[in-house]
Amino acid sequence: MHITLYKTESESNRLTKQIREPIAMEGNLRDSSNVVDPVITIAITNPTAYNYMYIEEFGRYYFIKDMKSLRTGLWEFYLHVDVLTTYADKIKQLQVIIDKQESSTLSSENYNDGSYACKEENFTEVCQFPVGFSSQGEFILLTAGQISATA
Amino acid sequence: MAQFVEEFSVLQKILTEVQSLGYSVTSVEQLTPEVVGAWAASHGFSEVVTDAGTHAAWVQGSNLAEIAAATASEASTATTTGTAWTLGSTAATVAEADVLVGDVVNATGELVSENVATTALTNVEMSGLGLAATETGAGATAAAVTLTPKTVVICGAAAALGLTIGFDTGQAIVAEMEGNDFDWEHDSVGGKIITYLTSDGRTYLKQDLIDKLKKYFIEKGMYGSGGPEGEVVTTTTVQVSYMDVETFGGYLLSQLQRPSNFPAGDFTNMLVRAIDNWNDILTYNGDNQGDMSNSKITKFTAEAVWTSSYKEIRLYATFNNTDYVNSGSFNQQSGGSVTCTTTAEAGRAGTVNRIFKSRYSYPYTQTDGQGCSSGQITLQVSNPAPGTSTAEISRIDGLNIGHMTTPVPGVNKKPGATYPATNVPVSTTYPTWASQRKYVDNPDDIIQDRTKPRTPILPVQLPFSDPEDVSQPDSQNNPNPDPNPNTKPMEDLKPQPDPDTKIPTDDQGQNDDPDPTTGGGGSGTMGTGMVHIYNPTLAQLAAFSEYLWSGLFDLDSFKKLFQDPMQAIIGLHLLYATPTRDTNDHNIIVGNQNTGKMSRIVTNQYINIDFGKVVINKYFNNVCDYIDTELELFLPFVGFTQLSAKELVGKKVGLKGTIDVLTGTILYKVFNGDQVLYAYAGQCSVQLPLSGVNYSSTIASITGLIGAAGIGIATVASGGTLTPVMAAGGAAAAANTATHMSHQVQRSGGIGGNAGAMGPRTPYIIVTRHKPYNPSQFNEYYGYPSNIKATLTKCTGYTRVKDVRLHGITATSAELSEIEALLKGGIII
Repeated sequence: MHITLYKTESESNRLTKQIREPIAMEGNLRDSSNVVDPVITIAITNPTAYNYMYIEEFGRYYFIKDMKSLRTGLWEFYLHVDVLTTYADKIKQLQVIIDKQESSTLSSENYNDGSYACKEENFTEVCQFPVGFSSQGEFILLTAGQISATA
Repeated sequence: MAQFVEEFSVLQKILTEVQSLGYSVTSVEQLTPEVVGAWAASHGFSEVVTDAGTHAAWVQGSNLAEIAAATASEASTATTTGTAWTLGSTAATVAEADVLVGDVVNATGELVSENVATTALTNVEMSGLGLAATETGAGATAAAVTLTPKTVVICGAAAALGLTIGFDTGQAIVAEMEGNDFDWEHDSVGGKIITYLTSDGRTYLKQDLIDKLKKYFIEKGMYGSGGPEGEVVTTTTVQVSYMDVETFGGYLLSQLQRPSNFPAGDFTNMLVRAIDNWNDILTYNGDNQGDMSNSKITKFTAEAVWTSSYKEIRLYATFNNTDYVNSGSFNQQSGGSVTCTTTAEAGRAGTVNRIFKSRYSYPYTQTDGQGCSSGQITLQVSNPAPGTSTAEISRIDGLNIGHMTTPVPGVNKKPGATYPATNVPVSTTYPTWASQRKYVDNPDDIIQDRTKPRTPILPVQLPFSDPEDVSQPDSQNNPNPDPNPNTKPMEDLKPQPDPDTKIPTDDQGQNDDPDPTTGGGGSGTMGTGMVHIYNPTLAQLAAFSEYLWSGLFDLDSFKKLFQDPMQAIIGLHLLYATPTRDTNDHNIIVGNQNTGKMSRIVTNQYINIDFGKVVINKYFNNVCDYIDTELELFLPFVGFTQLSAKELVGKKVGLKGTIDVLTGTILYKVFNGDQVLYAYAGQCSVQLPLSGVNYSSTIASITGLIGAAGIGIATVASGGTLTPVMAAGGAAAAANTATHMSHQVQRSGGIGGNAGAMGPRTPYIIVTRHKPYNPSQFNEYYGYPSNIKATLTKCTGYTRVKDVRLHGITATSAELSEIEALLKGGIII
């Protein structure tokens, strides 16, 4: 089967990996392997600098989880499918409810999900209303009696 | 279809006529405002004007007759051919309904009585030209739903409300309203106002809108102080102790009164900034500038200026030796430069956005005259000269203080007109408007909920000049203006509150400051004739006291009713607000005795105080503005109480109070916009004992107040009624505990009455914010909150998914599960 070895420094959770230094080779699928976690053998001198692989027959990208030297010039690779890069184009088209977003354009900064942290230390601002009570008091005298009272 | 035919026929008529006038127009599409204006002129109209080439208006005699609109494509070619748009003294009429053209909604509306209203606005979209609909339906009044430019609405509404406003001023007012975020609500469509036009040419505005406009006009001081020029309205004396010039400058600024037409938020912010700038000046040490403390200043003047084009707060310093003030540029501490001239009033400082760094220049030799002696400062409010071009609204001089209130330039009161009052709905001020009130289905109701109450609309001739004219029923054309037998009394026609609505409706919350008088007649308790409320001066009070303890008091006669003369003197207290009182002095009545001693008499039991508004600005522009911000409101004579940041941050918070002169009870109301959100009651009178027994009870009541827990009665609006909640924070405190688990500090106990008089007299809000503590660029690691539905292709960087429907991916179930898990754990795109 046709395989291509790559080197990548991308985060494992990056949708599309940055890959470099491809080496196209032939490999053999070990018995009892599956498409998600296949094990293949490749005739190669020293593959330890590589950490990523594409298997053409499977149409999938794989992380190289581990590799074992069977004998001189023959290595066994333990793989796990990278579903993000493999299905990147389809994933980008998915409609989702976004929980968190790095970009502010698709964020709601007035939505409280506990992201924002504050110290207990605080600072104050005083907003004074423009009008207050008079500084001078007005006497109010209350009396009971008849309006028609005469002197 | 019929409407289109009518449109076409009218335009065709105009087209035919303008062709005969020599215009080379061949189609209705070529009817520019200029051409339509010429057509109007040929019919006897004159002074055709346009507003920026979009609309044309023409005037016949003193009547503004009609407005015509150009289509969008024609607007660019329109020109102004007339003079300024003014309103005459006679109500305008639309005489030629058959040639009525206007910028109307391309829809048919029916103004019908409340009970039979079924349909109204449909297919609401603007078209360049349109017509009033033909009359349809029994009992219906033919009408068009029109869109009228805001300037026209302002001019017309102002005329109806007793003002005359020129077109330019109207435009300036609209611009000012937009700047103040005036809430047009859904009355505004595409920058224009929904009006309703009946077949008799009468234009209707929604009642709530014209009430709002009335309130706005009053708040902006368009009615001024209302008296003859130069008449002193009020005089207040402020005691000033000795201060040096530095302190005195800041003191004058702090004493500056907000002019009634100066936006409260702007005034507060600018005043704080001006004082800060003054302090900056005092601490600034430029290379060639001296120390303010050594300056010889003979006079300070602080003033707030409001004009249609700018607002400023200024501080002038008058130097006695102008040689020591440099002419030229002075560096500002915060960058930029300003020019200080060597005039007698150099040293203008505190102007927002361009602060003058006034300074005595180096070298200085004068060291005397630094202080302002103690004495009195008189604040004098007087009426301005008519037509004042620059509105010097509030001005305080160090030695001679003048405080002026002038109407807005370009706005004049119509002599003899009925002017609206703050607390009285226009339907009460102009009762015949209410009698001609029409009802129309709320456009929103058609789309949403038809069960909501319909919005009443009031007739306003737009434009017209005299509200009385439109209020008179037209006996010839409309002998029975309201033939509907189901017509209800005016009170019954008010919109009924939606039972599901928790926020007070207009009548509950917006027509604020209702007169608490009950029972009708008189002003509260005074109307009963049982109690007299006097507002004596200190000298009058002294004279009255002298009388009581003299032999002139007829004790025998008095004892027929009372055992003790003091039983007839119900109380004496101080209020720190000026009650409404008669201008003439009256005899003081005690029991059945006319003491012959004089006093001013209080004519209204209640005093309404508008403390203005403050803006609670957003600080973080994120959720911290709400969950980590605490608001505490200090109310004089009440104390501190908590406000909800979630309700008020980013909003203008208004505060009004109503004082019962009789008891000294004050009810504060906290507003957001027009809605009352909080109400607090307190006691703001300072009781003055009249006898030993009276003194004991006064002390007991004060002690009781201090010992009482809580701060008055805090209430919130709920279901249209005010219901008590926990005082001193209540729910807000509980919410705070949930977020920060911090201890709630009560800043004061109850400080009403005598204790309150010793505290601050101006309300304020303390905004407490917690310092943010977020890692830098945390969004790259765990993102901003989102909760938004979107396609992942629109996302960049770190993205965590709350939920996803995996669709369109041909993968194994194990792979699909892993994709979902990864998306929910966060991926980088």
